Amino acid sequence: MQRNIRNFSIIAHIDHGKSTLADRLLELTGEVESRDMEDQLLDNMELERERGITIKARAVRLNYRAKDGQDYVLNLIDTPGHVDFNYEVSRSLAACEGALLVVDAAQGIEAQTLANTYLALDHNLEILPVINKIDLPSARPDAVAQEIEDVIGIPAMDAPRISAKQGINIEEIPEYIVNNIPAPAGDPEAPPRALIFDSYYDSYKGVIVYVRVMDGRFRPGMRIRFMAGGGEFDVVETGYLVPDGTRPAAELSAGEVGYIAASIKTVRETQVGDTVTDAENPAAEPLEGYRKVNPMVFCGIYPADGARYNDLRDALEKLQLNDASLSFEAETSVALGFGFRCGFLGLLHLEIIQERLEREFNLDLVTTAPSVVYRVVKTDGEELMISNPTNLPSPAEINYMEEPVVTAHIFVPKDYVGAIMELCQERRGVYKDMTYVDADRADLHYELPLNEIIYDFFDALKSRSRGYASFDYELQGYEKSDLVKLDILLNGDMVDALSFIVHSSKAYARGRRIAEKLKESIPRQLFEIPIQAAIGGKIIARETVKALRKDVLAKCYGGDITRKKKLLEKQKEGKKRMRQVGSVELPQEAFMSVLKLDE
Amino acid sequence: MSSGLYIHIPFCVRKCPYCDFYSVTDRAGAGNYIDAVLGELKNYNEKFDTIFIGGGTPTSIGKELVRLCEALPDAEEFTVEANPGTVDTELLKALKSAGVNRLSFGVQSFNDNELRALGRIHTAVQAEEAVSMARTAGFDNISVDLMLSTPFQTAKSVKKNLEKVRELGLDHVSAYSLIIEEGTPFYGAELPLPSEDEEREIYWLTHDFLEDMGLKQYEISNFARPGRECRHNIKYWTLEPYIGLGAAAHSYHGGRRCGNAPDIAAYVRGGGRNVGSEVVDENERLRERFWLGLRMTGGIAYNGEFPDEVGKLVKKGLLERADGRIRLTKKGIDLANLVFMEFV
Repeated sequence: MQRNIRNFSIIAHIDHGKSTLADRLLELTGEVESRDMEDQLLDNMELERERGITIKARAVRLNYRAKDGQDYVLNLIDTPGHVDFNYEVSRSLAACEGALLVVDAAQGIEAQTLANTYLALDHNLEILPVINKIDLPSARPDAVAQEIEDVIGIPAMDAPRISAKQGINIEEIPEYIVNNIPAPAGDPEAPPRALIFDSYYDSYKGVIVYVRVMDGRFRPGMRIRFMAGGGEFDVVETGYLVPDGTRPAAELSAGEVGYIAASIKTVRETQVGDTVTDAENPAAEPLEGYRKVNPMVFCGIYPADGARYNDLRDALEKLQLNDASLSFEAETSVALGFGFRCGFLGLLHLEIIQERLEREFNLDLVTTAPSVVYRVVKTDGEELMISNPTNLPSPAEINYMEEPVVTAHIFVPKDYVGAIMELCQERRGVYKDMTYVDADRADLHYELPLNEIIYDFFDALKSRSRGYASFDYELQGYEKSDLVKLDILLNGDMVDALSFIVHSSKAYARGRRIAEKLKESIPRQLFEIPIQAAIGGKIIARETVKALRKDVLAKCYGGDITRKKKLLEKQKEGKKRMRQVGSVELPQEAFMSVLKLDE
Repeated sequence: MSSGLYIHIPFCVRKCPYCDFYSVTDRAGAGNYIDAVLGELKNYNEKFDTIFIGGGTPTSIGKELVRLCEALPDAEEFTVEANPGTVDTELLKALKSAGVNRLSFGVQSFNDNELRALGRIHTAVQAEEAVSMARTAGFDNISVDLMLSTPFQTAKSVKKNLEKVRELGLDHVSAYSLIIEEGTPFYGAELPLPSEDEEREIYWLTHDFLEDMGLKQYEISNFARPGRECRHNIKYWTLEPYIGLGAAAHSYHGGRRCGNAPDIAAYVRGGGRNVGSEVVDENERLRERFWLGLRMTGGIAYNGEFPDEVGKLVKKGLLERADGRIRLTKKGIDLANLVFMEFV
């Protein structure tokens, strides 16, 4: 029954207890026996658990008998919790009628919370505040309720005050949902339309498309069409998303959340935000809000062992099955050989992919410094989008360059406003305005070049605010900028994989710092290695790695040859992971040293 | 072919802060331990042409050590490691008459500042006295260990140490560079150590000095008057068989490498014997012949094996070829691990 369905998501800042609350709801509705519960059921990727963040959206259907005696279906659609995945969040929210806004009773509202709340309000969602962690000694639920009212402008004094961890007042939540979130609208007899909010690849069934049905019905045997993607497929199975996987159902009708399997081979056919319709009886208009997601950050990924190029390609293809926002194409580097230029939504996305490649596919990788995409207008009028610094035309051919700029909101306690403004200034930020969220906290609004925030901005923000600042941004557009390419020469040879694009005002300092960093990370070798940083052939910094003088193990313990051998094997293993670049052996960290300049 | 016999005595008066060899300072169990060693010896019927009793500090359990030596068969070379702070003429005489014919003193330095910084229990004077006591006791084959690149050491202080070696008329020197091992008190400590460049200067100064006085280098860390090389230790580098008795001792025997666990209590109960046994097959033996054999400054006979590796190392100036042999160059000695690594 459509009127007994409630579709909702949970909005929360990282660590404010979203996953724990989801676990409690599952327990409460009897979907999972507590003894079978693995903590944080929704975050089932190993990496998600470790980092305490949700990377993929997913959904779970809960059955609940309310105090009014009626049975309800509660569909929890879990959203990714990071600014890299903003678009995915917006699509998950579009699949819901309401959202629980979970706020930590001790910490109050954070930038991420606010950004997602605004997104939810944009989609006309009913926002239900929940104050969590009331068991903490530092909890101040009244103040936080007031903060919610002041900052977001929604009533919060009657918000449930819970502790998801301790299980306090959890039973209020399902009633709260049933009574306050509207039942889904939509006409089950209209031409079918379903919103894709995620999909994943299953090796038996092909792509499992997660959908919220807006109108009409979907059932096996139907031919469906993806309105933006254009693909047509025959539905093999429809069903619900349950805690332990999928449960087939005869049909999915308006208001319901579930999955469609139609022997689809890649997730690229099933872009998040696209509309699924009946190919024979198509809807006149797709659902609003679809856009193609464009990667914002690029880097080169190379196998440490060149022989594993094909393994790397296979691994990237496998990951792409589940991640339409990952892009990659083959590229060649003089220094690193054959590899791929990969595009990501942001640095977190990059790190996740890199880690998964290493862990799940057992690959040793060399990753080059991330770059944003620059727009280059040449003197002959030709326009280029450059994501690999190596491809930048020579300065004489460039009329001007533009770089991507974001609009950023930083929430920070007032004591750290000075420090954070200084940081934004250092990062070429343009101050827009500042408002006070409450008596103690400011919302700093800046325009920042994307290339200043993709490396270590978040870390710097945390360290300069003792962890209190939170941060959210969205792409604003491209602006003209005075950019130069900084090259690194080792032993006189330019190493293409170490080149990067930087604002001219920072080039000298950056060049010096990189040369110093490289000196630390390059081990001594048989000969002296000059390290030079150059802009357009002009050397701006120089360091030297002295020649290796000594590498010999002298003693042998009572004929323990095995131990000696192990030491040598270990050393050999370390050497194998080095990359021969011209005459120089480079450790993998060297390629990332251009990033970690603050350490 | 005869084998070598190594016996590990894992007892010390005090543990040196740089040492990661297996030893304990509680010597109450020494008697039972020696009984266990003599018991383990019964498993073997070999003839031993060299015996080496090392530690730990064998001389820290004086009487038990003498009992052990008396129970062992005679050998052409029979060495006991000795700490200058734990010997007297009486003990040395007893060892001599028990068949010991070579002493290796853990002198480390003839400079009291350096000895103190190393946490040694003896003084420079005691070291000199130990050598003369050994002569009195009838030993003519005496070696000393010198430690290079120790805290506070300089080229000048090393030279003084070496002059003392000459003055004492020693025929054999083992010169080891201090290595800071994980898990020892020195690890992570801020020590006034010579730089890498100074360390090499000290090493080559030692080399030149000893060669000048007639002690020829025969292995990366060992120098001897011709004929006085330590035959037992050479066995390690030339793949000759040896049997190790005692806790933490290692053997190469019957084509296998194995070792006893570093656990005195288990050893005395008869446990932890010959663990981690590995067969050395033909391929492995060839590799070992290279990476162990090249420690000997005379190098190894070479018949074109590992052409890529050897070619590369010769080109880098780490190996040299002559008269059907290959051996480390001076640079190769400094960077020997880079050579050995190619063959493991």
